[in-house]
Amino acid sequence: MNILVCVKQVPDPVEIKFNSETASLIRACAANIVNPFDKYALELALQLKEKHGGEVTVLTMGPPQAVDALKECYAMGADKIVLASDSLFEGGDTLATSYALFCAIKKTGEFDLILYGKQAIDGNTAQVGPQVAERLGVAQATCATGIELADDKVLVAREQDDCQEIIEVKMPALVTVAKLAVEPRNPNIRRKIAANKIEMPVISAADLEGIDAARLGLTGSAVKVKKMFAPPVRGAGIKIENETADNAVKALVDYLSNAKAI
Amino acid sequence: MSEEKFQVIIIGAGVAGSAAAYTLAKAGREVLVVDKGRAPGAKNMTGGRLYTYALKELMPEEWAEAPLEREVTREIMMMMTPADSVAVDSTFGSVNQQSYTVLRARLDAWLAEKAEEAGAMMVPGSTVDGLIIRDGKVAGIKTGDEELEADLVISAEGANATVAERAGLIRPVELKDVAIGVKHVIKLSEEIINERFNTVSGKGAAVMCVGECSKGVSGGAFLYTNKDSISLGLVVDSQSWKNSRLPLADIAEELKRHPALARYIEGGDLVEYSAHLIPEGGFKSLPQLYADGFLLAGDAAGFVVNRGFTVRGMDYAMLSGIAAAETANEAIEAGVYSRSILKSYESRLQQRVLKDLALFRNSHDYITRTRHVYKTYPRLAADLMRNIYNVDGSPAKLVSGLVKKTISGRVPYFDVLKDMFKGGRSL
Amino acid sequence: MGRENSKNVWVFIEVYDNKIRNVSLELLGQGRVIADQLGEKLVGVVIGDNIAGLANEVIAYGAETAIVVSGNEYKDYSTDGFANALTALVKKYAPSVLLIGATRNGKDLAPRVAGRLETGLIADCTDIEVNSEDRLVEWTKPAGNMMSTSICPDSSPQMGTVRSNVFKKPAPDYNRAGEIVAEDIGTKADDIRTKIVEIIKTVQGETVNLEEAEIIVSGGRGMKGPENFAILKELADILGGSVGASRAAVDADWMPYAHQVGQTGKTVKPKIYLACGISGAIQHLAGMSSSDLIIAINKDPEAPIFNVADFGIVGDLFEVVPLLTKEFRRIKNG
Repeated sequence: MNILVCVKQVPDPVEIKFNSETASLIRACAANIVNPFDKYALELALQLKEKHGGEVTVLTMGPPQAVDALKECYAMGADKIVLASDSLFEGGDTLATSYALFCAIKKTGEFDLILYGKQAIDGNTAQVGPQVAERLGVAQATCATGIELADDKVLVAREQDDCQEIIEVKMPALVTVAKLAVEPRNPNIRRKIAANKIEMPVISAADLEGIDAARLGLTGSAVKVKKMFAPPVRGAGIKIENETADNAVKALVDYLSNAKAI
Repeated sequence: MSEEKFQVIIIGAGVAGSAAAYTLAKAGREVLVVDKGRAPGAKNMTGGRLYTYALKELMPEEWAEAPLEREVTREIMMMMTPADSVAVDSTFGSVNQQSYTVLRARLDAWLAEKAEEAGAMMVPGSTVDGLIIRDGKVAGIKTGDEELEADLVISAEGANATVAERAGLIRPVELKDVAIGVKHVIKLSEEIINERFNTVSGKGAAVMCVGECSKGVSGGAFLYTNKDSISLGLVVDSQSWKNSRLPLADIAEELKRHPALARYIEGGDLVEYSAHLIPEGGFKSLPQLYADGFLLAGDAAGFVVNRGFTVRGMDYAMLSGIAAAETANEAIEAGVYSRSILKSYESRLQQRVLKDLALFRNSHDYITRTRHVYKTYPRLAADLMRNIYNVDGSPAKLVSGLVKKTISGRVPYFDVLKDMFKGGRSL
Repeated sequence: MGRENSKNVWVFIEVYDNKIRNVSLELLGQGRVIADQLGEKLVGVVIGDNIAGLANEVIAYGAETAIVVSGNEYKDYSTDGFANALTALVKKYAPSVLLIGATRNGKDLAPRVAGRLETGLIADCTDIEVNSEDRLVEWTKPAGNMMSTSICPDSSPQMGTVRSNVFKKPAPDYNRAGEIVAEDIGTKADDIRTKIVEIIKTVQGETVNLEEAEIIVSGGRGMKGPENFAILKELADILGGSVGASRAAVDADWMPYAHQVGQTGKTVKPKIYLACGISGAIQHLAGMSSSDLIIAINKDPEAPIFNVADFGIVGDLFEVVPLLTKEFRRIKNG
């Protein structure tokens, strides 16, 4: 089975964590990482490959430094990695981005299954996967927490708003992947060394025959950002400190009854 | 390169590890560096000052391109009580490029990049679980389900050297032999920093403080000006921290509120908080620095000298990295990796590192065992100055009288003399 | 599709268990406002099987017209079936605006439809307004720790998915007159490439409906382990509320994803939101800061949650929560 996983390199959300018990730190670092949901997608692809054979290709669209994301995917076990990089691809909305990815996928090969993370943690739109599926004309399933192969179909466990669905999807299909029960594997050192040395093909817009440059990037975007602004601030209220739990609870109950909330 | 075996595997991509990797790779060796941080330097910490002579020795040409923050041209030595402070402010126009402030995330990433350019294989994001030991000789590393072989392993894994410890090559770190450093990096604009420290871009200040910096916990606080941020932190004696029962985060938080320091960081954004162990055992607790197929470098070897007003670790780490690499080179050329060959590591270190450690062998003891340094003297200094500057309409006094008045009842004269004598010899 | 001749504001009406989802009713409320500002009509589109009764609801909640597509193939949601029907309708009637609730299915459907129509789509909006000058819809949503406002100036319809609980559900008026249009759009069975084979309800067979809960008792990293969520459940039960969780708690597998509140989980707007052991990362605040009342219990006095809490208790939640439960039980039992 031929599986394609599309990944995106995203900035690591800046978080300062500190473990006061061991006096160790997990530092804030403005580094780039593979979008966590895309890593789950890759993990799922690798598991399917291990069970059923086949090949896993990873494609990313991004600036030249996105090779780091691809190398990490290769180290995790991908068979092939492809970078689509061109300034013409930059700054697009999901419509333009999905068009560029669609063209790059066509160039990369034919796939039975295409996996995406359910959303990228920088933009959080969750739109590119379904829009690529639309352009490829394949079936889609979003927010999968598991995939089983069943002949020419896949069974997808789908995370719903308030339950789980098992749906049957005809292949070729595009599935977006949510958090799995298992964490993505850690690549071993030999794979990392191999990934460091790998030569990878880079696809630019010029390599894509028949591509319509007017549909790419900012020019090809239907959505324009008009402004950015700081969110309105909600002020703090009463804060009870250095009180016994009994008194604090009494004060809270009084507060709630005065506010007629209960 | 054979797929299966490296000439040297280095554990840790800090200053020592990268210096060793750089030197070995320049000599054409097949070197693998494994670091547990996601990127080299991601888990490393320093107060923030690098003495540049070591960097120049490592890379005489390229050192000037290193991501150094500001050259330290102004040194402020401060004694503080919870509310007051007395400072000696020195500006050294005669000192040229002696030390720079640095941020490890930048410095280590750059050093690792240089090592990689020279031909070393850098693998971040992997934790070494143990060593392969064959016939009493270290023969490689174990990580996850993998074993990687090497003629020689250099542990540059930092203060808490668990790999070397687990292999029984060094004894476990004892609480008394480590201090704990906590640090905040606070973002401010370059202009504001220039203004507040009366300096120009590229030049900056180092502030070292002794006294009750924070919540009564004894230690030395430090403040360094980076290009567009300030490193503010505290080194506390592990025992005194343990006795205080205060969360480290609270101590660091309180430090920021000290009136002598708060004004420097006002309006800045906290961008980083970190804590780290600092080896403080000094010369007396140095471990065995080599074994068959194995060398120890940097903090893992305990190469740190804390003299209260200057703390040096990174320069020694760099020098020990170079010395380890030179030793490894010699061993590779001889094709022998036994203790008897690696013994030359110690004589190499002797010239550069060990003589300092021996010279200052008592400084740590002096600082941690002499409570007066932390509590009494800063208070005396602050009170004396306050008395001198005090004008409240009461009858004026002579300075000599004020000194006696200030000291009286606080500390026996004999103690003062004793501390000065001991301190004079060990600092 | 081009902008010319496109007219009317459409709301995709999501049906679940033969009922209209709250978010669709909320969108009829805001859709009404937008339609009035544009001087256009408000249209609700219902796709399903045996849903005739729902058209009246659509009109009662403010639409002039309800378009109904019904058929056995639409009994369950399917991307292919619903995208086919909705696209066909848009092509026929050319609405100027199309609003879809940002539910799982809404976000499955909307990009597929927007892709087919080659129009812009803005995800997870928390506000939509009409600019009186150019008469374009302005779509506002959180973007990192900022908010961004986007427009779709050249293509049509202007499409967006909208979070639930950001607009008020209007009061229904069952005397309102309106037009019900039945459209016969079939989708061949072969063209529907997905099939639901099973629905698994979450924890103990109950569904989680945080978005519609009036009281939410939420736990974060401070809960220390999955077993401790029992004390939140107990409190929520007494109050008739639901249990929520921060991303930290969900990532640690202490609670299922369906309980997650925040930017990558649910946006909630209960009357009372009780945050227990939740530090209050900006991503969490994005999902609950429009709650009527926010109560926080945390032992860290510096936790950012206290900056938005109407009432904060600095203390041990393991002491406070059981006492609260006891107190409310006493009040409840009179």
